[in-house]
Amino acid sequence: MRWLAFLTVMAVLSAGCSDKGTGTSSTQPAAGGRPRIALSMKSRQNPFFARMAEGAELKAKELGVDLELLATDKETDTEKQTSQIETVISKGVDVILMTPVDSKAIVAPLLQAQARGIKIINIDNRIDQQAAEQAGLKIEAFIGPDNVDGARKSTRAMIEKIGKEGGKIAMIEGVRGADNAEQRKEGFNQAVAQAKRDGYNIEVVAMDTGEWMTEPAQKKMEGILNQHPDLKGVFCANDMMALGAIQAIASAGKTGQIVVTAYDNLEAAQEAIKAGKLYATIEQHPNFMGQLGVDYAVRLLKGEQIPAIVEVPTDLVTAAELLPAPATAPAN
Amino acid sequence: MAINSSFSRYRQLILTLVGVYAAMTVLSGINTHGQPFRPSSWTFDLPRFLLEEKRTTGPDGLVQVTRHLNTYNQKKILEQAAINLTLGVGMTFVILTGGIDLSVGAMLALCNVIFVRMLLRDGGGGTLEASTVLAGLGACAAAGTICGAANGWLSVALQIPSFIVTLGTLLILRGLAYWVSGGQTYLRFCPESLTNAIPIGISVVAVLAGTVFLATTATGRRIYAVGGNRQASEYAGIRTGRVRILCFAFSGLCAGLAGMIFWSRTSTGSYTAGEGAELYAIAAVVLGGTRLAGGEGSIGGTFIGALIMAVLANGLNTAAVHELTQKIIVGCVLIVAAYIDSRRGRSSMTLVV
Repeated sequence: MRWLAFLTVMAVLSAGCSDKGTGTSSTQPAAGGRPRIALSMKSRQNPFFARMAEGAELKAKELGVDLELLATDKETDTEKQTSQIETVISKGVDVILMTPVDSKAIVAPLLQAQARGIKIINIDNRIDQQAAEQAGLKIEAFIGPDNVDGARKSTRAMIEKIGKEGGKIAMIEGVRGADNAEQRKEGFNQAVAQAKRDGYNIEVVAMDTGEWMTEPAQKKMEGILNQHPDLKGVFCANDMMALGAIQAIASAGKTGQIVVTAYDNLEAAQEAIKAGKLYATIEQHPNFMGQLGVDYAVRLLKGEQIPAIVEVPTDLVTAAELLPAPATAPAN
Repeated sequence: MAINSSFSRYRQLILTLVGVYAAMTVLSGINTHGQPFRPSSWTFDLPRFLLEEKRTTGPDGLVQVTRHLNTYNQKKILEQAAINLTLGVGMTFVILTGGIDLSVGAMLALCNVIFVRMLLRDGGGGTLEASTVLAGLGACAAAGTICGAANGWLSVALQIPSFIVTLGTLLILRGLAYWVSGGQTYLRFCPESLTNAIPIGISVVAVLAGTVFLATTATGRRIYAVGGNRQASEYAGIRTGRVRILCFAFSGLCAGLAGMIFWSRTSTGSYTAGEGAELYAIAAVVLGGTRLAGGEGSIGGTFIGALIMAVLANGLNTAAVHELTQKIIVGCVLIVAAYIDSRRGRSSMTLVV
């Protein structure tokens, strides 16, 4: 135990030595003037964020940026994300790229960051605008997928695959109240309304939440199938939940009889599409979002103008057009 | 009763805390320049856990870089410890009697939601009146105490092990929190003056109140007795059921106050608040040397245990260690601490009722 005490004394001494009294002065910032950017993500277990991080790291290397990746180990842990933001504030980064766990709860810690001169760019899950405005939080830019459009495309593909005779369809939603979950629900509703106008004889019999996760979604799907054995199609608001729905459908012996579409284009979903268990999913290019985030952060630091809102287009992925995700960002 | 050996026990805990603090300071100075944790990419930089740099441009155009103690981070460590600490104080009471309370995280969520709903009764706009906050505080405390007392009553009167009772109420209370909140996140900004005052104030008061209560009151001594040997205490005329219910009620009170701290940290009320918090609270208690079987332990130990965990979490965050690697490290520290504690033996701890 003594050596630990010794270490502390050394650490404190080193703090004392270099305190303001001696004031080491230099013309060069310590980190060689590299911009410091933090990317705070919801979780890294979800491959969506892993790809976002990949894109951001690629761009950071190219532009010579010190990039720090942060993530919570649970997608609902708002307190942990608050602590992580406090930590990057204390370390003093220049820009925070933020994908909030909770679009309201993140406003208060970001205000602290703003007060210390850190700029904020919002990625993916949009920060609650009313809350941000009320608190006087300035968000430099929002880079996110067009969730409504993506959900519309995915739902439309499912309905068209069922055909004009239609039948019962369902949706498995994400965490209720989360912005992107609500937007995907909106996209689903729009697609259903449009399809009805186009003469598709469909009926929505169930809308329930699978909380973005595989296992809860599987249980919900089992419940839906129990009540509606003649279900024709289901749209899942993300791939993780679709994997659960597929499992439920398989165990009910209905694989191939129910059209499943999803959202996110994870590798597992691509495998499911190739195996014919999943009909379609939506590619939202999370790596572009990561790249754009870093790119815009650097431009912002140079004093350039950046657009306030960038909606990264989504693409429908089916067996026909199953291509590996493009590796580079489009020219913006 | 005498806990006269407590200083030697604390000395070890304090040394551990100091050691973790030093290790985090060193670790936070390792700069990997955004690269994965590979030794070849290491350089030593400012230990940001402890220090911060301020850059000012002097009149001669030169950039002055000065280093200061990172007071912001030191303050934040205390704030980040507050929820775990407050829950841990209540948990210590329950564990001292030989029980366990798994429902504190869910109680936190319920009280958190109730609290923010109370704050929103004025419509949500305008400045927050002190009376509104106090009314919310009262509601939090009352709701928490009632839930806690219910835990205790179920465990004592129906003779169900507290592990099972609180496992049940964990689910019930989390569900209730969902219904009270309607599944949405409530937002009411915490005024800047309270963001420090609430977490630090409440947790310090909880620690002091708990310590004084255990050390000086007759009921405090009875808590140790009940945990040490329930049957013997009963023969000695202690109403053990009452003591146990009291401890659960106190744990509930602490969880209710932790719900208020959660608001001060995030400005929100949400049914997902404090998921898994019970496990970290138990970890802080055990790290602090309280015996899970009951009868032995102290609030002071829990206090240091919670600080060790907060320092560890903050330092690992500062060093940008992957969140799952963090879990591995925290788990290892827990097991090593428990091992050291078990090797010390329990003979040095005298317990006289």
